[in-house]
Amino acid sequence: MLDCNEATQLLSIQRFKNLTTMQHIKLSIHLMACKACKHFSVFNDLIDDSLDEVCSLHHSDHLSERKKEELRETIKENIEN
Amino acid sequence: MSNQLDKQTNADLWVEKYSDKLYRFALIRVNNQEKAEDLVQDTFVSALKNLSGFKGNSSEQTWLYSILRNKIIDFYRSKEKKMLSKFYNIDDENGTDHFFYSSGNKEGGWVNGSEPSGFHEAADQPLERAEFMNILKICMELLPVKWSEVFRMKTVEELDSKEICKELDITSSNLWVIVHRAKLQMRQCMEQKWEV
Repeated sequence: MLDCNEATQLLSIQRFKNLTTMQHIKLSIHLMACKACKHFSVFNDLIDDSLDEVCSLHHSDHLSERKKEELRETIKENIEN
Repeated sequence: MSNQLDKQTNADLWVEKYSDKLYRFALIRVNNQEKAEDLVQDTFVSALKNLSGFKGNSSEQTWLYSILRNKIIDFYRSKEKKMLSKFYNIDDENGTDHFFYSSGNKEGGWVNGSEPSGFHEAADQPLERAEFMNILKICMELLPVKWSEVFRMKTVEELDSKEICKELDITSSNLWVIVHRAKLQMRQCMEQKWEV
């Protein structure tokens, strides 16, 4: 039988590591009996999806041409000094 | 004179070829546009000043990434000291004792008052969703650097756990503790801010 610390650890790491069948079973049993960990489980899924959303915002970011020109100028000044 | 000319040629080429890639790499890690731009600039300047140190053992791009990575680590080191002293007990960085009883007949159970509530259930609604995302970003910023770095590496770079451990020079057990601790801390931080 898992305690809450162990159950939430499995929930937290399952995105990084595949759980074994036994771990899945133990986790399901724990979640059926523990309301606090069930809340944590829902939060955990939500946070994983939200992190994907936050991080994907940066995929197409790039510097503007103006910024690149500024960058060239600043680098030039720096290497001349 | 010729040396200066070489450097200028390199600077122009590098800005054209690598600045966007380096910028995205930095932006994902520092989550601040202005800081990311500064880091890219510092990287190019350092690289040009140490051009003779480039032995050609790795590609030019790999070399620039390694310089940028060091700049980001320096940035985080100074930032982390401020963050940790403001928000966390540094000695309490690795354990989960703050959340669970570590001994007695309740060992492994939630410490009274730290049990998760269903505060996030409203986050499906559009307005609450926007607020949820704002709070998420704030709490992500407040995480110790190594913790937030783990999530960014997993989510953005899609690195597997072995690669993350190698990159951060930690064992897989350390990684599981970091991830667990970060999730617990995120939940607590978000729940506190949600209630305010």
